[in-house]
Amino acid sequence: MAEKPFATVSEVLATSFTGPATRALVEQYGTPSIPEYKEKLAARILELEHDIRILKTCQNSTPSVNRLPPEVLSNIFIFLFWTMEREYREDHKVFWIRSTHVCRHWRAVALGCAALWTNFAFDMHGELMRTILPRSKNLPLSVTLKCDGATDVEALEAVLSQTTRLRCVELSPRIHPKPTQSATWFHIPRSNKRYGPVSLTAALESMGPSAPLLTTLSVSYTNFKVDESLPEGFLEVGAPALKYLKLDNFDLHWSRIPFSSTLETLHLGGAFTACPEFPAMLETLRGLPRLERLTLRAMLPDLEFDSLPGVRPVTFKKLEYLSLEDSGPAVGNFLGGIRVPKTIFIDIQFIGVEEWAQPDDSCVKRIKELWVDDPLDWTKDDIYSLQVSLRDDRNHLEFRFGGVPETLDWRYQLDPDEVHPHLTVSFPRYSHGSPNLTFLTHAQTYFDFTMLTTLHFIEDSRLAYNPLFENTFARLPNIQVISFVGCDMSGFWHIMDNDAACNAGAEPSEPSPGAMPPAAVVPFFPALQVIEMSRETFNKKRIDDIIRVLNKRPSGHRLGTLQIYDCINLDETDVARIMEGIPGIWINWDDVVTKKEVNMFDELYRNRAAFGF
Amino acid sequence: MVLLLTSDNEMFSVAEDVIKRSAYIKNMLEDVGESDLPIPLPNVESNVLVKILEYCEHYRGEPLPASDVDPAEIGDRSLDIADWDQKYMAVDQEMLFEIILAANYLDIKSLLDVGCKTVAKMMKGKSSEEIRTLFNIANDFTPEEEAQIRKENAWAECR
Repeated sequence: MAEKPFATVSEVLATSFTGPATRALVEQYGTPSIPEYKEKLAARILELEHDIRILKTCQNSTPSVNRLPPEVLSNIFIFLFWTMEREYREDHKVFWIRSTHVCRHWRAVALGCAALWTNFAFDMHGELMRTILPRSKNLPLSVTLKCDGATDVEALEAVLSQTTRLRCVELSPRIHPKPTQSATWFHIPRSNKRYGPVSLTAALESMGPSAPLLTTLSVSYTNFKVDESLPEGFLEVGAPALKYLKLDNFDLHWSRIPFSSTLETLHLGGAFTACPEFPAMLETLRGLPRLERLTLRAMLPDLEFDSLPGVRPVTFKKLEYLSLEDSGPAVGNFLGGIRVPKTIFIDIQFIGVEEWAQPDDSCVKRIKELWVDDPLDWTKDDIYSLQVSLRDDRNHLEFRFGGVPETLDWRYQLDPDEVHPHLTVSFPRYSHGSPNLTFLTHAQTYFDFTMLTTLHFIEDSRLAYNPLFENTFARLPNIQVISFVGCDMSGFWHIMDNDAACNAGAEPSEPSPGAMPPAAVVPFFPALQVIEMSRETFNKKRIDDIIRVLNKRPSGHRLGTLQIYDCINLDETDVARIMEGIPGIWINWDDVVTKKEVNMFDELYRNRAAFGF
Repeated sequence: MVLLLTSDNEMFSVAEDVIKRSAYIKNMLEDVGESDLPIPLPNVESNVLVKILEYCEHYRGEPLPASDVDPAEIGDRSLDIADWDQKYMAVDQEMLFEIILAANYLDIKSLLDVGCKTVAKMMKGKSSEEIRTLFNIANDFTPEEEAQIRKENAWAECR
């Protein structure tokens, strides 16, 4: 006879919700035997769970969100994916996958939406990538690898082997020393034996010969990797849609680089086991007529262009951005072989310094010559702004060009995103000279500084102590603004204080119309209207000096505005004293009062540093 | 003027340049030409059409989106929504999804995108369980599917 079930079960049976099959099973408690009865119970529970899931699925058809057609739901997932994909780059968690974990309907829709599964970031878990790859169906793929040097190599190679589907490949592992047994920092998950150090040579070897959809290929290390190179036969059939190509900091073979005539951006940097001769390099570049951005690092030629008989310079008709990094002579050689009439931004980083000790201005001359043949007849030789700065332990000069012809003026006035044409050059710091000042001296020869209106000094005021500063800039007729950010201004005040025109005694009378005033009457920086000071340290003597020097300027050349931002030891009383001391001046002060003890040795050190000791 | 007849038999008379933001209506007007007969909208109720027309009226005169955009081209999308659109979409869930459905039916791509972005924003940063609660969805996965999801979650949380 069957045993009685628990009393609580009897109570449940008393409710009207229990179905007949369940009720019968409960009433047959323990028959025919306990083990068989347990099996029956388990089977029944499975049946019921199945039914419950079906009911829940039915229930899920009723909420408003699930009345949306699958393509609209997919669209929502894609918006979520694109937002969260950006966030993934920051905290490395694949949040958008949660949209597949809500209910069966959502999962089916998400798994069917191939566009959700086309981005492969190789700091994801390898298993996840192996799961995702089939979901991408046949859509184009994007591959990003920016990890610390180890990844699931098999998964990476599996994705890269889908070469005909690759649209975007960006591989930039951080360099690392060879791993050792004890190296715990190497971040290779022990649970996944497929993880290993990234070898770009091996990864790129897994790619097929043709990448018809590839538009972006970026392969770079942060530091030079001597044992990595482009594999032989790399994309030898071609990448006919390639627009962006960056290969940096590893051994490049010129003949293996997939130059495509569709390229719009080319960035090459690194050593060349097989570097081409200068004429061959020019011929390759001549085959890239759509180039808009060109960056070449440490690979410019030793040969002078003028020594190549019968070779025409390459004119990049669409190039807007040119960035070069090499020694002065190598940059000069390369510039001799190109013309960039429409370029609006040229950035040159010189890595050599010794050559600037020689009186050779050929590099600067060639920079000037770059812009000839401009179809709009704009030779970009009027400099309207110069910035002198010290960043990353390099001296920088930034020249901005004015004299924009009317035909182009709208471009810079109407579109704030349009960068005004400029040239930046930077130099390593050099203990036995100032290559940047040598460059500036040469620049005076080839460019017109007459229209210069603004001078900026950022963290670098050495020039203000150099006779070059006075000789080059003090007599320019249009300089209206001089700004110093984090600089010692002593040199500047010294020049202003010793200005002969301001120390002539009695204030000169206005010259009669048409008569040229004597040179001594015109003060330095005759058009100066604004001096801007930022991160400057004030004291009573400094304030007295400023009042004294600015009061010496003759009428008609009086300073209009002092802009004072983020300065130290300056308060309302000081500002009021300056305003009272210099009649008619307007002080634009940020009201920030920062008091700080100033050690006289700090001041001395700053001055010595400014002089380059 | 264009006559529109909603599913609950309400008639709306709408300026042509307002309703032409709907590619569906625009194509119909181009195919059929001028007519005094109302265009039936069996999938749109009158209260929803009022909201749709509010949107079309607000953007009256703005250029219509290009019709040759490849829908497979995802591009770089963001969840940024204009201030007016955000206020417009500040409705209850029922109405929000009705607007999305109507925008999809009437083929008003910009409105559909705003609706989808609004929903995506509601989901952003939430766990699966929170999303279920938000939209009143039940977990109907099988044990096998649950196991796979647990694995995927683990993979997604670490490398």
